[in-house]
Amino acid sequence: MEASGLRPEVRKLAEMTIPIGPQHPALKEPVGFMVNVEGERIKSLDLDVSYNHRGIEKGVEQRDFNQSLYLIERICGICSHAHATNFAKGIEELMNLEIPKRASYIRLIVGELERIHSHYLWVGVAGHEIGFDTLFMYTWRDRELVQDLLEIISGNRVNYAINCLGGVRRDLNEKTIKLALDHLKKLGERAAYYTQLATTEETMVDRLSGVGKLPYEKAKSLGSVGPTARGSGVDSDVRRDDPYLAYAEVPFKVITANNCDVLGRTIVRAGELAQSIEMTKWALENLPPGEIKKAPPRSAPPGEVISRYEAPRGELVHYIKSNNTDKADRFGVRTPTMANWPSVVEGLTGQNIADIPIVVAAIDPCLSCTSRTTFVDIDRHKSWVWNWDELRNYSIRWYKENKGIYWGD
Amino acid sequence: MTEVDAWLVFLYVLVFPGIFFLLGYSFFAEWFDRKMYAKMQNRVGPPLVQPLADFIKLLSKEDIMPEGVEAKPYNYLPLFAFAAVATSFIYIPTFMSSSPVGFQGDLLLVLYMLTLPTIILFLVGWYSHNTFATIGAYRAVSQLFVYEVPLFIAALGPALWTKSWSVSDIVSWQQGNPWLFLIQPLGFIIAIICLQAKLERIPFDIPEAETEIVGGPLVEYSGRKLALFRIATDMLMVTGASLIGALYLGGPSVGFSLDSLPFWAAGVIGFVAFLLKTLLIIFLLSFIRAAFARLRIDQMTSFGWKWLASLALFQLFLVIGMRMVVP
Amino acid sequence: MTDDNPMLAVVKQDLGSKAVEVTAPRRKRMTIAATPETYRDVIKYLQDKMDCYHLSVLQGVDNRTSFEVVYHFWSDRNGMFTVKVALPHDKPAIGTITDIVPAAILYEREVHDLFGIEFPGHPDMRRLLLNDEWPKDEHPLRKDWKMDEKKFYGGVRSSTGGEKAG
Repeated sequence: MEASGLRPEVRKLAEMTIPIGPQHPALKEPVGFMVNVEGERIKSLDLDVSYNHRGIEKGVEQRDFNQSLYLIERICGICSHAHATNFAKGIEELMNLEIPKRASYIRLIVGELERIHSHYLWVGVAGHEIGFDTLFMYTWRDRELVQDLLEIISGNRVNYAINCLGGVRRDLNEKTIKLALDHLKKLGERAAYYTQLATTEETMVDRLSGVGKLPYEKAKSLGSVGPTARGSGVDSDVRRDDPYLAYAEVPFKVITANNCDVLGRTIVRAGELAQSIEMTKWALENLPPGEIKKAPPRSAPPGEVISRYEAPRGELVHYIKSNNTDKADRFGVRTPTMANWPSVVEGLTGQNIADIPIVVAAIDPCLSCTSRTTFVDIDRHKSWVWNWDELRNYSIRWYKENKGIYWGD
Repeated sequence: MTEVDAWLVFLYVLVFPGIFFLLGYSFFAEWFDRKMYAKMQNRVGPPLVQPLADFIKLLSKEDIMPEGVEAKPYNYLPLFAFAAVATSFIYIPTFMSSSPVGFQGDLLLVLYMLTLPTIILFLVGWYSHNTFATIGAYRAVSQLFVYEVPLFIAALGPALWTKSWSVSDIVSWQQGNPWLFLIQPLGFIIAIICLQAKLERIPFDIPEAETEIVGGPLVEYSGRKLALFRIATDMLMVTGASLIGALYLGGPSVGFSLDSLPFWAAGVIGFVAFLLKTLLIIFLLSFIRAAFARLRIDQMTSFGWKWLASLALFQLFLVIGMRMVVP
Repeated sequence: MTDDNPMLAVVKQDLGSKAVEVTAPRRKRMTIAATPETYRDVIKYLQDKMDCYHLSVLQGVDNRTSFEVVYHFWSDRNGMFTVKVALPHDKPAIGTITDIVPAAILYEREVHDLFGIEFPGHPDMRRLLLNDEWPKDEHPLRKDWKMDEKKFYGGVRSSTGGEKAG
C-alpha cells in the first residue's frame, strides 16, 4: 500500500486525516490523535491529552498529607499503589521517618503484585489491539488470581490503600502467605505459557516485530521510561539504580531487549512478569518480623524531595515541596505515560494505520495518569459538580449563544 | 428430479431450503460460531436465541443516515447484499444430490454472486462519507483481489475433476466416488482460508478492524440496514460453508448410494449429512478465528499472492496432470 | 538516608560561579540553583560530564514572590540532579531547552499551561492539559489564582448556580 509511487492527483485522493479518539475502540481512555495518512501510511500525527484533567495537583495543595495520600491513590486505577507509595515515601523522607522493615516488604509485595496484574492486563490488551481476542480472554481470566490475592492482602481490588504514612495498614498472616505462594505458583506457570505464546506465535510476531521502531539513541533522548525504554536496550530501572523500599535486598534481574520495537517491549514485559513473580515469592518467604507502622509527625519541615518509583509503566516521579505545615506547598507528578508520548509519535510516523493501536498500546498508556489535574473542589465552598439541571441549562444556553438554537423555555 | 411443478419450485426457493430455512440456519450458524469461539476462549458464550434477539433489537433501533449521503444507494445496497447471497444458496444441494434449479454453469454463478457482498461493502464504504468507512472500503477491495483468485482456482479443481460446471453434478459424482477432499486436500485448505478472508473474520478482518478503523465500511450503518448486513454476513457464512461442503465433502451425499431407501429417508439422511458438514466447516472457521491475530493489509497481500495463489495454481496443474493419468 | 553525595565537591568545583548554590540532601540527590543566564551551561555540563542522559521531569513552582522552574536530570552513575532557576513573578519566561533536551517538549507545554511561564523558542507551544474552552491567561496552579466563574463556560455557571435545582 505504498502510495508514494502514485500520480499526484491519485495521491491527493489517498490523503486524509483520520481522527482517532477521544472515543475510539482501541483506546480505553480519552486521548485524541489527528492522524494524517496517505493511503495506509501515516505521514504525521498530533496528540491531544486534554480530556481528563482533574486538578489533583491543586487538590493536594489544599489537603493534609493523610487526605492527599488517598486522593493520590486515585490518580490512576491500575498503578494506584505506585502513586500512593511514591508519595508516602517522599513525605516520609521529608519527615525523616524510617518505616519498619516489615512495612517496606509489604509495600514491595503489593507493588510487585500490582506489576504482575498490570503486565497481565497489558498482554491481554495488546492481544486485543491486534485482533487476538483469545489471548485477551485467557490473560484476563488469570489476572483474576492476582486481583483476588490483592483483595485478600489489602481488602480492595483496585485502590488497595495499603499505605499509610509511617508504614502499612494491614499485616500479612501465615494463612495469607501460604495462599499467596500457592496462587503465585499457578501464575508463574501460566505466565511462562503466555510468554512463549506472545514471542513465538507467528501472526503475533508478524504484527509486533518491526513495528513502532524506537532506536536506542531516540529512546534515550526522548526520555522514554520503563519497558518502552528497556525494549530499546536502555538499561535503566529505578528499582536497581535508585533503590527504595526493600529493593536493595530482593534479588532480581533487569530485563532488556535490543529489538527496539513492540516485540522488544513485549519480551521485556514478559520477562518482568516472571521476575516479579519470583520477587514476590522471595519477599513473602523472607518477610521480616516486627511492627508494621510508626506514628508519623503531623507536619513536615520545609524542604523538597524528588521521589522516584518504578511503576509498571516506568519511572514515576513525584516532586513534593513542604513548608512546615501539614500540607504540601507544591506537588508535581510526572507519570510514565507522559514521558513515553514522544516515543509514540516517533514510533508511528511512517507506519501503517493498522499499527496505531498496538504502538499506542505498547507504552501501556494510562491517560488518567497523564492528564491528572475536572476540578474536584477548587476551594471548599464552591464545588464544581454540576447537577443534571445545571448541566442541561448550560447546554441549552451554550447552543443558544453559540449556534442560535433555542426553543423557548 | 427433472420434472418438478412450479409449486414445488416455489416452495423450494422460498421455504425449504430457500430463504426461510437459510435465515433460520444462519441464525443457528452464528450462534454455533459464537459459542464455539467462546468455548475456545474459556467463556460461557451466548444462549441459542441470542443472534435472533440481536437481529430483532437492531430492527427496532433508530435508523440514522449521515448528512450529505446519497439516499438511494445507501438504502438499497443492504438489500442487494442480502438478495445476492440468498440467490446463490438455492443452487447448492441441501438434501438431495442435486438442486432442482441447478443448471450447467451454476458454479460460476454462485461464485460471482458470493463476490457481490464484498463489492457492495466497498460501495457502502464509499457512499458513507466517513473516513473510517472509506479506508475500510479501500481495504475491502484490496483484500478482494487477494483472496478471490485463489478461491476461484480452488473451486475450479473439483469442476475439472468431475468435468462439470454444475454444483449438483459435482455432488452427484461424489456419491459414488471418494470425496474430493481426499483427492485435493490442498484445494480444500485453500478454500477454507479464502472463505475466512471473504467473511472478513480474524485473521483477515482487516476491512473492519475494530481497534483500527472502528468498524470499517459499516461504521455509519444502524438499525434495520445494519441488521440486513449482519444477516447477509451470516448467510454468506452458511452459503460459503455449504459450497465448500458441496465441492469438497460431497454435500448431502454420505459416500454410498441411497437409491434403495424411500425418498423421504434419503432426504433426511442427506440433510443431516449436509448439516454436519457445514457445521464442521463453520467449526474450522471459528477455530481459525480463535487461534490467530489480525494481519496487516500488506502482510495479507503478500501471504495471499505468495502462498495462496501459487499453491492454488500448483494444485490446479496437479489436477490437470492427474486427470490425464486417471481417465 | 543521611549519607553524603560523593559528587558534591566535584560539581561545586566544576561549576564555580555558574551555580548560585549547590547542595546535596543525600546520596544520589543534588540540587543546583542556577540563574536564567547560566542554566543552559549547567544543563550542558550535566549532560556532558555527569552523564545525565535522562530528563526525568521539568516542573514549575510558585513561591508567591517568584517562580521557579525545576529540571530533574537523572544519571545512572551519579544520581538525580535538580537544577532550579528562579524567575520574576511578573512575566516569567525562560528559554526553551528542547534544542538540547528533546524530551522536554511536553513538559514545557505543561508548565506553560498550568503556570503561565513562557518558553521562547519552543517549537510547538500549545495547550497541553487544560481543555479547549479554558480561557486564556488563566493558570490554575498559580497560588494567587482564583477562579472567576464569569470567564468559564460563557459565564453560564454563575447564573444557574444560584437557582434551586429541580
